[in-house]
Amino acid sequence: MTLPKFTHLAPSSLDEALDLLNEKGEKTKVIAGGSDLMVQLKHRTTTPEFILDIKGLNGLEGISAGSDGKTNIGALTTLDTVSESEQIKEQFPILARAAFKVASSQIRNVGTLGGNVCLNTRCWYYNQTSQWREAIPACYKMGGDECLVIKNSDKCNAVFLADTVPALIALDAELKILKKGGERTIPIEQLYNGSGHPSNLLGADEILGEIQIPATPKNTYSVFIKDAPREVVDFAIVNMAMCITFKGNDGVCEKARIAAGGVTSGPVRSLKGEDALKGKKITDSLADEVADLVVKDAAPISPIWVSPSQRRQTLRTFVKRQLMAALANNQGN
Amino acid sequence: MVVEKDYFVLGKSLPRVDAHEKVTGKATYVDDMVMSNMLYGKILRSPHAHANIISIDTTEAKKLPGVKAVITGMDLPKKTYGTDPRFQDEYALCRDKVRYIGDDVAAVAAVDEEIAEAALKLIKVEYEVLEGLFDVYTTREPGKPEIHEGKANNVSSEIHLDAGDVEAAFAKAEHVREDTFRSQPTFHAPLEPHATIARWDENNKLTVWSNKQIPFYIRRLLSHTLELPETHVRVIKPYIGGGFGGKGEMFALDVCASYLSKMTGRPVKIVYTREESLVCTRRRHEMTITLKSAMKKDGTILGVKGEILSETGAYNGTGPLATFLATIFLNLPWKIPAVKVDSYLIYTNLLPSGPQRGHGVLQMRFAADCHLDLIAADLNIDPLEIRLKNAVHEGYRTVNNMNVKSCGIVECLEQAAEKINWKEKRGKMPPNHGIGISGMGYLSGCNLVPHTGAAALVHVHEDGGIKLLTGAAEIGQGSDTYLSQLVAEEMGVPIEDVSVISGDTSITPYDPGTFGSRVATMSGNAAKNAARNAIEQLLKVVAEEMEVDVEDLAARDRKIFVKGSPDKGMSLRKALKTYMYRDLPMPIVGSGFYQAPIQVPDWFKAENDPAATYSFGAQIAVVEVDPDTGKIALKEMVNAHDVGIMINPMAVEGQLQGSIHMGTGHALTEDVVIKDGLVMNANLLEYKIATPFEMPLVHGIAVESASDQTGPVGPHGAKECGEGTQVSTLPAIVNAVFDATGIMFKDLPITPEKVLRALKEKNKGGK
Repeated sequence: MTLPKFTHLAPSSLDEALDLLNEKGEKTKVIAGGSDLMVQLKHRTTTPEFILDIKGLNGLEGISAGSDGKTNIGALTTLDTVSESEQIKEQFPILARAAFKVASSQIRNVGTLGGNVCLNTRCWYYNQTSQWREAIPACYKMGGDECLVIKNSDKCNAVFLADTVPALIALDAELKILKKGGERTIPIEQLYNGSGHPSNLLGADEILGEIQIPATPKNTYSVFIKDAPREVVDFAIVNMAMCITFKGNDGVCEKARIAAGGVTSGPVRSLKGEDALKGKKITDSLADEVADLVVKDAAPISPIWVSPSQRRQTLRTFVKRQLMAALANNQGN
Repeated sequence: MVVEKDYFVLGKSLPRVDAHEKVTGKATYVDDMVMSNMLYGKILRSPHAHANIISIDTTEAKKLPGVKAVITGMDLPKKTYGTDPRFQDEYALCRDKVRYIGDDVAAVAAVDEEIAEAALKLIKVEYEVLEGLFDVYTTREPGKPEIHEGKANNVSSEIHLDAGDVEAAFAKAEHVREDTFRSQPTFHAPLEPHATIARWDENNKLTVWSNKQIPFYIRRLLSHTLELPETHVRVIKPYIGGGFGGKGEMFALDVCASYLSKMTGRPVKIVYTREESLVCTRRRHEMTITLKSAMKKDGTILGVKGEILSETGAYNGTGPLATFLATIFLNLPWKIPAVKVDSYLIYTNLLPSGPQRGHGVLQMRFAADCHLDLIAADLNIDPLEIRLKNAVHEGYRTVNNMNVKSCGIVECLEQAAEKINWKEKRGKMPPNHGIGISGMGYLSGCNLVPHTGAAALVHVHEDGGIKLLTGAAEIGQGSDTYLSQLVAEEMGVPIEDVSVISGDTSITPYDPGTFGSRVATMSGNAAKNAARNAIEQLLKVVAEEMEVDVEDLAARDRKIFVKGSPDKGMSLRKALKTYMYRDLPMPIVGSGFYQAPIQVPDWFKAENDPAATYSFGAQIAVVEVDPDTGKIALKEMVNAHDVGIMINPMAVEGQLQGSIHMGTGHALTEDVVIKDGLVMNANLLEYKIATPFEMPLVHGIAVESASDQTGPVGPHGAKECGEGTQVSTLPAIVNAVFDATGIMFKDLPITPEKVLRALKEKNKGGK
């Protein structure tokens, strides 16, 4: 398959890149690893006038110590680097695991953590070649006025599938977003509004610069788990990350963060599930209750690839099993 | 007859003769080839599942700079094609009607791919959209449009097998059971997409480089569709990146590249995109199979009634054959004294179906062997025992006249059971764990229509080097290697002395190609016979020179000597020198041919042997089911296969493993997902081929059954081991899941979603 015509912009500095985006942002797609964008270009689901290449720009890559004990990861750091880093494996094992579960080693070698955070949502009507799409009308994501997955829906229902994002939400990560003449830092979950299109709230003139992760509290059980048809290559049917911080070793949860992906059009943080755990001793029945609350918050509705009920059941199983594992771990079993 | 076991080259795990070229990336495939002045072709496809073509306007496309030719179906000779002349119903480019989304409508040749793609967008086609028919039930309802004119109820063809007294069998049955199974369509998905380069030269001769399993069929079909004498068509098969049956037919690209080359006087290359390669060629036949068995309480099968609904999609392709094979292979490997099966090949507005590893037989054996496990459960008989009880044997003739000349089914069952420790495991697995068994018989050397014999030539060079010319198509299965081994054995030289040229219709002798598990048996015999013919020309001279009988001479180790006395003889080179110095005719060429000594079967009654002989096999699967997520972990499998003899054990092992790989995907993850006629997963991300991580631990067992009374059929008794090896994988896995859950999944693949739904139903029923 061929690429559409576009102008390749190769700025030599971050400032130049931000200048160019300020000027041409609406007509531009930013490329880093390109593992997602290249396919979209070949499929003609996006045909930008400009491609802004940020690969190799200084200041966007690598793992470093930030303020307040935070760890900063440059957006251009590859998924392979994140998954193999001894520091990340030690401090944030669920991030290393989530990065490792993305696609295949070939993709992880070029794909970046920033790219995964900004990953476009997917749908089996949208992620197709232009020749294939000639048989269907244009959907919301292609500039049309309907959703082909859920008839009469007033929004795009493409699915959010980035593996690292639930892990980053569970880790309470923040994003530093850059633009000409300024920058903003937001909790990662604020990058998304749950719509399939656009898949995130990054402005056309903005670049994701850095992912900042606070130190994980002591006595925290954390886990990332992904279900997909196959062990490798595939996007998630459901992925789930949780960090459960215990008070002591009596199974009482002090604080919990639970997030899921693959279930709906954005990542989901389950505030109800987290609240239900706070200050409580984890028991089998509480784990059941929390699992139900997480599923309720996640509210899978999309029938793309698998049914919503399959997603509900899998997510419920993951939460229940991992809460029981957290308890067992806390009690030293 | 006792088979000679003291082999020189046979039975050795020699590396493939093409291995170095392939693993170093130096092997040249069609897409690697660039010719001077070459154009690039693209095909415009239908966005409608079923529509009449009102008009096609190519004016704007032709005006685009860089475009050299644009053709529609009306430009081509009005010739339908298809592998079997009785069922040809397909035009390279549609003339007045499109029958599936992706059907071929027009073709463009341009100086580069971008321009060719842009030109497609400038072709204006006006359609009158018709109702699309997407399943084997609605398509047969009264009042539905005919997909092919004159085919009432959209039934393409029927097969009625009726042998033995079925009514009597049911009358005396002690137990009767009926089940319906559906095997889903699956893609072949070889690594290399379909690709063709055609060059129509100034002498009106056509050379085509195409990655096909059947170069000689392509020659015939191009000759037919382009109205060119067969001798003016040369089809060259370069290295092929896998076929699995999916490259066993002609497609639009072959005809279009050729015709565009004729029009432009330049070579034209067409390479299908991955999507086209999946959606615009072929997939495995979806079959819905109902079986009803009459049983004795002790597990003896008395008779079986059946119905097969075989979905061919928009065109016949190999549908009649697939349906015939599905029907006839109800009769092996378990004895059935009376059978009645009614089979229907049905058109839909979906991409056409075609041959895929296990062609039709696989679908039937899935249904029949899972049905048998349900019967065994009803009768409280161990699944291994019921199979041993009903297994056919050497000398057995089925009720519809299939003759078992050699048979290792019992050995396969017993050795597989022993390997996995069946007796200790069955019925004693922990909760949610299961073990399942299955068995099969398969064609070894198909003999389906007349003129499917194989020929080969062996050329002995002056320096003692041997060249094998074979029409057999190496598509990755290893035929270049094992045919070389057969020749080397006969000539008494190491394999490195043999070079092979295969699949070039102007150079190599006729051979139908790679399908029907025929190459080892048919092409193998032809190569062996050719080598025998060549060495005998030399033996004769040596015998005269040494004043011994020809029959007393052996060829081995680059020497010709008196059997049992290796010192009494001469080197092959000396023998050649002797031959040449006597001024005997040169070059020394051995010619070999093989045709199965049987009549071709009657497809429409499903009777008589469809193959020279049969391979047999048994498989056992061990699974674990997660009742909360529905995920099935395939832990371990045994694949025991009656190969006759092993020409190359490493190649056998590769086939035993590879078959489990494809079968695992078919059973658990692969499915051509179709919504309103659209294939939703026409790419290798969403089409779920098993990765190495999904592979179970595989134990391969080769059973050598070649010492039969009637003499070996294949070369030295060798049988197929490339297709039959996959036939039993599905029922073994499905039966293991049945053992683990108590639920027989009759509709493949067994996705977690189906498992959860079925477990929910079962638990509801239990309360």
